Amino acid sequence: MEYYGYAGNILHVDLSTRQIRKEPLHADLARKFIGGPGVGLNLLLDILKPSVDPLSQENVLVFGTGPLLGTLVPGGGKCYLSTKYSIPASKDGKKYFVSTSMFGSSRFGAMMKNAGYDHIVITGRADKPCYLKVTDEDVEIRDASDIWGKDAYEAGRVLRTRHQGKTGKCGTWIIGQAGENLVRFSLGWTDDWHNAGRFAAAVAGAKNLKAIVTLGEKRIKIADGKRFMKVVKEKRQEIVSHPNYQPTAPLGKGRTGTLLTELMVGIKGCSGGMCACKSIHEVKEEKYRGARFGGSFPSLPSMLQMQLQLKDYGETFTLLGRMNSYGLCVSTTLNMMRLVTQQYERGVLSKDDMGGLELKIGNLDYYLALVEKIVRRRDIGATMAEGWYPLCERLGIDAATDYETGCAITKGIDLLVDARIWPSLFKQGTGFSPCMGLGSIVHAKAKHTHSLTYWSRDEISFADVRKDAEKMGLTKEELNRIFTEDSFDTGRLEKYGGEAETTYNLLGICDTAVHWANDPMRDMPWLSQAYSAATGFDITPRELLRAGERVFNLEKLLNVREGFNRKDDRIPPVYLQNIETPLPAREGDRYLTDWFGKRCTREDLETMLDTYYEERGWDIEKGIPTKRKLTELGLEQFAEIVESA
Amino acid sequence: MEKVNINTDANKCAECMRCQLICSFTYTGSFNPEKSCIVINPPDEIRFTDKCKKECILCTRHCEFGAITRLEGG
Repeated sequence: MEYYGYAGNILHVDLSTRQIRKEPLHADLARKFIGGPGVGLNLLLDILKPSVDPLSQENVLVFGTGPLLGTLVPGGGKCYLSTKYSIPASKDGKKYFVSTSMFGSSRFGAMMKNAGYDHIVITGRADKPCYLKVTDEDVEIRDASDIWGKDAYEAGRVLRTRHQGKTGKCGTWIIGQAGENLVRFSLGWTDDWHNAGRFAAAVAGAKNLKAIVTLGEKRIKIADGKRFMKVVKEKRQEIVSHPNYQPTAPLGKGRTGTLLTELMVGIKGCSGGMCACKSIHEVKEEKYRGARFGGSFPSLPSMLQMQLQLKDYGETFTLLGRMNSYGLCVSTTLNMMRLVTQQYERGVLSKDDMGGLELKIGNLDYYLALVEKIVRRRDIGATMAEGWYPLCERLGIDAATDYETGCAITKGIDLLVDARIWPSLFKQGTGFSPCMGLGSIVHAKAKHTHSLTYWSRDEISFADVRKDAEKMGLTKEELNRIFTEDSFDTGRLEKYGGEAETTYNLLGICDTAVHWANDPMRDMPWLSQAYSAATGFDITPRELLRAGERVFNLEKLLNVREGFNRKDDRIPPVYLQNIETPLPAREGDRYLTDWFGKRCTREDLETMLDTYYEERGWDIEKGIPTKRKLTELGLEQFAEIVESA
Repeated sequence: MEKVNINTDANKCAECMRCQLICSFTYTGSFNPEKSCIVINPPDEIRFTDKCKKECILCTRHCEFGAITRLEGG
């Protein structure tokens, strides 16, 4: 069958037997699950056996793209990685979630498709370090002994020199030493600057897989080129005309923004992207030579500097650069270092536990040494490398309740966005909103959904939220269930926010074409037109959103099979503490609130969960899909999973 | 090749490949950066291959970052 939009093949690589197999993408699979993680998670349901150790050779890594990736569709550079993640999600260390990481790419995704593959399935374990070279000419499992032990940037330089394309670099996905040493909160890097797969790099490390290189000269064909370009051009015009549009990352106002602007040495975006959301900054002082920070969160350096009491940006960039090159999740490492330092200061940890390291709060060398201990798995670093639950057991505290100054932990991970703190940053609080609060908790991987309209910004009004929901393609009945004249039901709205994001993921595009306001991109009719024109598979906006729902349920099924249910979606106890105990903020005490700034009670939070599950058509008590819902979505063959849960 | 109508600044390139995508789509009918007439290696170089049409400025219309711009009168 001739494919348009899609490359049309799935690549299977068994690292144990070194068997490489090319399988055609079946049209019914593409139509039902669209692409991206839809196909990837479906493959996992088939190939990944329940309850396997994520760091064993039985775990499966699936990388891939969607049908609009590598085209001129704005934001068309999103790849995915689906696997069983390496971080323990329960106190007993028996549960691990199965989920997907979406990540941006410049060449990696586009070159994977031009090599002829939409998805790459990696099973088994290589007997020695290797990397995978995927080109249109051949697929090879190659020796990686010369790059094993090198940091992600250095390994990238070696591979790009070795596999240069005719018109630019090859695509790369690479792990650093943290992934090699099975640090459970390690991550990979795509094309150097796009972090990819928080908690998944150790899965690759356990397979002795250092990197994937992609390069190809095949073509991404379009079914109706004229119609496709018309759809794309009109949307591009709408985006560049948007009042919030700016092509590069907003670096913030005031002194920090000015400093970051002065230190900026480059910008990075995704293929097809109209907004380079990542920027690279370098300190110029000789003593910090090479200290770089790159990423999409310009507030990160000042947060790190403040929380660790570092002297200046030179020190901050040095520490950030080290964590990035090793492939450590900066957020988890920062939170853990704060906790360990606090416990060391309180005498819970001794100097012996710390391998003789002197306690020096605010000292760069102290933190660098701690990072080294994590990556090399030495002293307390060996326990930190195992994740939150093992660390807290070692410290004799409860990860969920006793780290009151730190972070909320759900499903074994520290939430990237803290629903207690975010309201204090803006006039109109996000609080326990869809996306930031509830979205983080109910997601299989406890990540915030990308429904950026719900981010608290002065310029985002209640009317914007309603308009956004309408553009997602919700029916009148659904809108009436969610909205009253001046309010909305957080639980019900989150259902559609999560699904809309999933739909973008399936297509391989990002919804952040306009910084922190996805107004022009949130457009289901446009998306369905772009998909239909590109692939020749006609689809209605409603069917497209329904595909997002189907895949959201598919991901849940994989986790129900691993024993996850409503108990795992519990509200983090540190949030509950904030119902009665305020956090100090510039404008006064802050309590846990909803999007409107109204204080939440415990009952409010439980009601949000109830209405969320109800809107999903799930079993409210168990927090899992019902057989009826699965049948409605064409997933009835998996009903046994929920019936036996 | 030298393009007298286009200015390039590799330091501003975000590696979004929009220039290569529009180039390959326009001249081959499908998307593939490797089939385009532009070589992108930021921050070191942006250059045009010998196949690039002398008068073509399509890529300048799709660069959002100022890395490839049309010269006045070009």
